[in-house]
Amino acid sequence: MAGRIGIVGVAQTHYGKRPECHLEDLVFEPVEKILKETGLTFADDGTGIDATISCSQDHWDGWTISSKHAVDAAGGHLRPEEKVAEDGAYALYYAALCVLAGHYECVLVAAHTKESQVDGRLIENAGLEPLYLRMLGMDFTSCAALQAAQYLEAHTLGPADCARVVVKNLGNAMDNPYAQRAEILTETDVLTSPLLSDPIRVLDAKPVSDGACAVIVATEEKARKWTSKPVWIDGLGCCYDRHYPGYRDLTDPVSLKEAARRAYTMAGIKDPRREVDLCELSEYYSYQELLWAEGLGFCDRGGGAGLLHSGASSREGGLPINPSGGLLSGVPVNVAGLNRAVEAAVQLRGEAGKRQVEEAERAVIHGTGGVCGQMHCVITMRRGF
Amino acid sequence: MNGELLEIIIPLDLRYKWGAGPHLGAFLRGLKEGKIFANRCPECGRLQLPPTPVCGRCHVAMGEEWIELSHQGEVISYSFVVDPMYDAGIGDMRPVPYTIAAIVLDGGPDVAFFHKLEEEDPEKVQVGMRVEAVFRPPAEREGTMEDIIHFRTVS
Amino acid sequence: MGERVAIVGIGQTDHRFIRSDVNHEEMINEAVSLALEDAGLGIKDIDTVIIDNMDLFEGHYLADGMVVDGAGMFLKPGLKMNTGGTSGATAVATGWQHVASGVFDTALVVGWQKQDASPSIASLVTAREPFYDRGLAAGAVGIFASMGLRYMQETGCEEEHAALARVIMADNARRNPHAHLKLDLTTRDVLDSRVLVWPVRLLHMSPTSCGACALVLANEKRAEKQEKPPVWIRDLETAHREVSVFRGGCVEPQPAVSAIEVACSRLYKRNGITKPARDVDVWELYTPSSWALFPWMELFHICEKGEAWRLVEKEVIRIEGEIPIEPSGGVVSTNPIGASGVIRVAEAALQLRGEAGDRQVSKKAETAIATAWGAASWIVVFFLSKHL
Repeated sequence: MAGRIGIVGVAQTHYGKRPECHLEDLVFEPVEKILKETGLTFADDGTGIDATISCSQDHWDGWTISSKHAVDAAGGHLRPEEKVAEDGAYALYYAALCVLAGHYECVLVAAHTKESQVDGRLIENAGLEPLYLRMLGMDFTSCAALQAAQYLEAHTLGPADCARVVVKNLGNAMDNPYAQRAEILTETDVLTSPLLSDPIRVLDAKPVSDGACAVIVATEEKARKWTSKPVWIDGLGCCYDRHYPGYRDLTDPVSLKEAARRAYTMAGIKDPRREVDLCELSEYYSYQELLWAEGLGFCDRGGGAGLLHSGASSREGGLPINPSGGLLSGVPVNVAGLNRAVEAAVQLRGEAGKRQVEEAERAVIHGTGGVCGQMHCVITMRRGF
Repeated sequence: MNGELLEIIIPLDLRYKWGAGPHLGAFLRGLKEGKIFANRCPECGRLQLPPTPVCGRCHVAMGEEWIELSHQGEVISYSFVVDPMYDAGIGDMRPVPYTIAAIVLDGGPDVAFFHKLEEEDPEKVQVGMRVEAVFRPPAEREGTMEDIIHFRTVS
Repeated sequence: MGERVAIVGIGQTDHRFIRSDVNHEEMINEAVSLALEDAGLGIKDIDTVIIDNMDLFEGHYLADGMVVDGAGMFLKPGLKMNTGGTSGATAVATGWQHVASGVFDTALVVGWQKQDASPSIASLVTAREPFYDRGLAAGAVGIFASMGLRYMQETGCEEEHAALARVIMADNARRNPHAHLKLDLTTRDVLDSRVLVWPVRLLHMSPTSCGACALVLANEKRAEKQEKPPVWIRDLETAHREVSVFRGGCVEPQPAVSAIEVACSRLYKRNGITKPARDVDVWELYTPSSWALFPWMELFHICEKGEAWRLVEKEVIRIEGEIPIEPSGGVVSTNPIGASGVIRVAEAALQLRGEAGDRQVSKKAETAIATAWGAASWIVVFFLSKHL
């Protein structure tokens, strides 16, 4: 691809319940950090950040035009600031395109959500078709449960396979200072946690979380100037599937495969299983790590569990998945995809401390949105130093 | 099949537990005490009312030094609202008419305070007139904007 | 520098108060089909789809996900933007960035609003700070009332001038088959209409409409293959404004810096526009209220400060005039909020193509400015041209 996009800096909040925060406090926290750490400011003359892409959802914020929280805190005053109302990975995807277009040479991306302030299940219910599905009392968890049940049935798997994802990820999270939930668990702990919607149990699901994160991207030239540890974004892809889950084969994530194909093609990745050193994906529920691994091309259909059981997806394995602890360790919706990118960048910069994957050169990050993973965004990154 | 179109009303009821944060929280606690607080940007010196965490122009943290403003000030703009508007606070249309105004409080030259005016007669309101906040009795205050009933005209 | 971007397809629905004959997807599909037909392309020729919608307004969470089939997004890349009133324009800007990046040859941009199905007015209240000013419930009208009051105090403008501005928009709208309100107004009608928040009357404010608007954007290579002449989006600029103005009001030292001025000065400088009234042929400004027209004409430097009301009085802003403004009839005649920003660009493009029918401006139209405005004084400005 013509011209490279460099990540200049990343920052994130600790994730967890933040009742003491106003939404603007949440946005400002990682923005203040990233401005300090990079030394960059908002500038009109090309010497700093040219524009901001914010990311939030009006329903979760309870504000029509939820980017108003980002305007003051993330440099929108008398400056370009646009809001992507999608998962955070899409905000990074769009920022990268802006840099390629050349209209902006340095972009700040900032995502925030405070899930704890509202009953998210009602919001999710409002994400279903109003006349056909909404009145069935479904939310994303119950829909995901249908997908999980189908997936497990199709490949003769059981809840124990999903439980193992939880054990791995929450164990990984023990080394992640930002994680909300980190525990050494057994499969039995997961399998005996309260049932939400069969087969999804409390520990199989991402916890309610508040938080925010920020990333600064720039042209290759500026990235090299402004950081000694640039990380290149070299592949971009996203894709929509149809809305009504009944139209889809829920065991076959076609939109994820297409998003991944686009990103890999751009990055020149032909065999992701071998060429990628780590993956931070968005598993809102434990079964999704298995399913998304297939969509990302790490294994054949039904092979997601194999990656897990063989140890390939553990931090020491051939293709660590979610060495950060993933979403199961607690990351809010909308922030999720951008947090995945922050974690991957931290890994590629060699700054992941106790959760560091050794010799990490190339990473894939993934964000998703909608019922049963209707839309996906895939971004590939590689170390630039 | 007859050609009648179906339309169904589906309510959406989302309840939010808003976090005021330290800055707006201090402001609301101040109202409960009968005080109106602003904070100041350490770089440009501008006052923000209500207090905010960050100065939108300087992108720096505003800090937590609360500056008390006078209860008196000058009307710089006003409007008589005649067309009823939905009020999320009461879940219904708000009774009209009412007068809203932007008021610059003494001590707070950079910021305007939005609130209601007691005066409802258009003939008696003008830009530049002096007004004063009327607070509820202390026992009735809850730490919301309603702790100020309205601004009355000061002759 | 990136690829050049042109508008090669334009489609919009006939905007109405109620469209109970269609659901969201079907309505969107009308506009999308028209845009594709206009471009002589099929959905397979579209590389990415950019949607804008204010979810909370629509009452749907992830509204883009819900309209995949109607908007042709199945198995295509795309995303949703949401910047309030400017959403439609932001979507166009986003589509522009997608094509300019070189990653996509074509992009479909779709904006819509189905106000009959959504609690728009109630949702608008949620744009106010919950602790601070939701209780005041004054809405957008109050902003324009302050604007109008101040303008009258500072110039010789009187209520009659705002009434005339509204009449001109109505006259324009009657020549636009897509317009929602096609009213036959006199200034007397406007002056007699119900006061909302003085001096703003009912007729000064935009309606809420159901409608959709779609644009097909393409890079130079693809635009050259098109039958119809491309309209180039030569440049764009976005500027938002700190929220404290919206939250309570900053009293700034005069003259206050406006986002409009900041965006325009950057755009004009880059494009050699030194005398906007001369250098730009058509203006599709997004003015949600007749009272906004005067101060904004001045902020866009169409005329000197304090003079806009005189230009309106002389009616030079008419379709036949020297400085045609909102020949479509503007937002005050048609306002499907999510589509309005796209409509401004679409209408400007139609003018430059010479395809605006009865509302085609009399003067030769080679360049245009299309804008969108949103809450807290946000602005997006596009510079369109027939030539590269």
